[in-house]
Formats: sequence, C-alpha cells, structure tokens
Amino acid sequence: MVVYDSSDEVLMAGLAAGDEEAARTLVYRFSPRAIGLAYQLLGDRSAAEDVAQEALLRAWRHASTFDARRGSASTWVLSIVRNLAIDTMRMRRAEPWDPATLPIARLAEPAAAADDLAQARDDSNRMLVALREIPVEQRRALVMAFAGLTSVEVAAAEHIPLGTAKTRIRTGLRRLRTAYLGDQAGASAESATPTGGQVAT
Amino acid sequence: MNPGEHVRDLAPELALGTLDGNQRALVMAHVAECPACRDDVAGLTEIVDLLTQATPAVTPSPGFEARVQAAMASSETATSALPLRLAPVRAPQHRRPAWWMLIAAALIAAAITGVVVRRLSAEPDRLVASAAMIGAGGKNVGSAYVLSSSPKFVVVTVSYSLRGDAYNLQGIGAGGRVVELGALDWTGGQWHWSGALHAADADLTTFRVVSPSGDIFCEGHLSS
Repeated sequence: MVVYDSSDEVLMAGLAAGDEEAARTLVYRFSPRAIGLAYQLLGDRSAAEDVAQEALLRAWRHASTFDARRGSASTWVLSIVRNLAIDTMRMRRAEPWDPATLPIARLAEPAAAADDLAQARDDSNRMLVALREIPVEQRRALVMAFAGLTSVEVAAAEHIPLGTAKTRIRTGLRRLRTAYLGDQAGASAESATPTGGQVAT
Repeated sequence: MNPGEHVRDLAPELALGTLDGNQRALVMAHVAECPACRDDVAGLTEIVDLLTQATPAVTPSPGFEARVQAAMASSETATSALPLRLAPVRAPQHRRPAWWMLIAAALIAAAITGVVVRRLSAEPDRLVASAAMIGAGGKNVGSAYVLSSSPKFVVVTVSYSLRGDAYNLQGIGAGGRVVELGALDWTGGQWHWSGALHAADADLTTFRVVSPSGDIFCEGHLSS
C-alpha cells in the first residue's frame, strides 16, 4: 500500500490494516509536530521526545479506533501527545514551579511572539492572531489551562481567587472561539458579564 | 435551575480536560442528555484542538524516528511493550444471558445518543459512588463514577494503554452477577466508557475492564 503521499485519513486506514509503510509514514509525518507540542508543554527536549515516542506508539497501536467523523487524524494524534505531556508534567511537578517558564507561556506574552508567528503555518498563524485578541489576563489563564493546570492551580499561580481563575479560563476560551471563527461563533459567545461577584478579566 | 445553564460554566474546562474526575463525570452525564450543551462542548473542544495544532514543530533529534520504529517492532513481539502495562489476572467465566446484553447495549446506545427521555427534574446530578480502578500490583490505573441521575449514569476511565481494541466493561452485581456493559472507547490517549444503567442493574458495586480473552485488566469496587 502506497501511503507516503496520501492523506492523513488514508494513512490511518493503512495503520489499522497493519501496513508497515504506513507505520513509517506516521512516524516521519507527525514526529516534528508531536515533539513540538510536547516541548511547549514540558520545556524539556528529552522528555518531549519520550512523550512523542509514546504517543506515536499509542496512535499506531490504536489506529483502528480512529474515527474520521470525529476529527482529523492530526487532531487525534496531537490530542494523545497533549494528554501524555500533561500526565508527565503532573508526575514531575513535585516541587513548586512557575508555569510562566514553560515555552508555551510565550503565547500569552503581551508583545507578539514574532518567532512563533513567523514559523507558524497559515492556519496556526490565524489561531495565534486570534489568541492575541483576547485580554492578556484571560490569555494567560487559558494558556495555563491548556498546559494542564486546573483552575485551582491557575488561581495559585496568578494569585487570584478561584472564581476569578475559572471566569478567566471560561471567558478566554469562549472569546478565543469568537475571535477565531468570527461571526460563526458570535451567536454562542459568552457575555463577559461577571457572575457571582467574580471579576471577568 | 436550567440544566443547560448548569454545565455551561464548566464546559470550557471539560473541553480543556482540566476538570477533576467528579466534575467531569457530572458534566458528561448532563452532556449525554442535553443536545445544547453537547454542541457547546463540541464547539469549545474544536478550538482546543486547533490550539493544539498551532504550536510550532520541532525537528527530531538524529535517530528519533529509528528509535520509534524499533519500539514498534519490539512491541509487536513483546508481551509488555509499555512501561505502565500491567500483567493481567484471570477473570471468572460468569456470563449474562445474551438478551440482557442486548437490552443493556440498546439502553446505553439510547442514552449516549440522547434518545432517552430527558429527566423531568432540573436537580443537578451528584456523585453517589466512586472507585479507583486497580490493576495488577495494586496500581491505580483509572476511575469509576456513578451519578445520581435516573437511570444511574456511569463513567469509567482508564489512563493506561491497553493492547488491542476490544476491551470491555463489566459490572458486577449481587451474588457475582456479571453485566456486560460494552466496549471501551479510546479517545485522546485514554480509554473511556460512559452510559446509563438499566434500573435492574442499579445494584452493580464493582466494575471491571476485561480483555477479549477474558483477563481482568483492572477492577474498581464502589464506595459511597
């Protein structure tokens, strides 16, 4: 089966059928993005490669469970990477740490992360631009939550009440959706009006 | 309280995967019955997925691809390829009559697709029992939650990689009665089963994840 130039979905079908070339293609096609995502969440190149390897093994082993109706193959593979990276980070987080030291925190910086934008693909660039359209406090909370911090941990890291942390995460994600999808998401975007005395910043 | 409003505040954290097990189970039970919240969570999850894809790629270090392929090759022959894989223990050979499996499967499918009659009460679900899913060597590999909804709603997650794609969830009731609840679904690097229980299965006190050959991978005994 020739899969090297095929779509991700055809590649997944090849994996499910036990095709060896499909397995090689999976590794070469997804390794850079898998390592990149894991590195953003862990800040450790070696650990990022360990996570990426384990994620690719799991994707290869469970390819037959992939359902194209529920999302793209790259989304499926990268969600495995993200979950494994978060699990790894939680296991390593025995000592107090500063989430701002993670590479992904660059996405929440007030000034444009020019390198990130320059390297990003068009669709990624659009997402990074949308991210910059939401208030910086919400962006920081959202990026921390994306990196696997719970709302309690975000509250502790930002020295804010738990309710405020939850509101920032909630409003940040909804505003990001509106900024990325534009009018498509406008109808369902959440009002920034605070609830329960919480500060919606 | 409008049940849709109830989970709207938690939908973003569900999409981000940062809810703790109890909250996650409560929200999932609601989402299974509420099309509006299901759409809301789906829309937010789409944005999280897009954010996942927006991070810059990194060139692998020399030899990385070869290492992964070698791990794949050894995984095909080894009995335990992953460091966290647990050695199975043998399951007893209890089986429910086939008609029960059909009814249970139909009810679960109906609950998941939202065909079940929506609850008349607007009272939010609450957690009535939970269990750690324990594998060989006493390792905690996941969680089981039972919610107060009517019918009771169960969420079981297993965070470890399982060999093969046909692991099933069993519930164990009074006198060792075994109920086949169905196959676990694998999403986002985690095995998962959720669904409503038949009223006759409200006595289930233990949940087991069982391999196609009948080996128990892990087991959880509910506590209130």
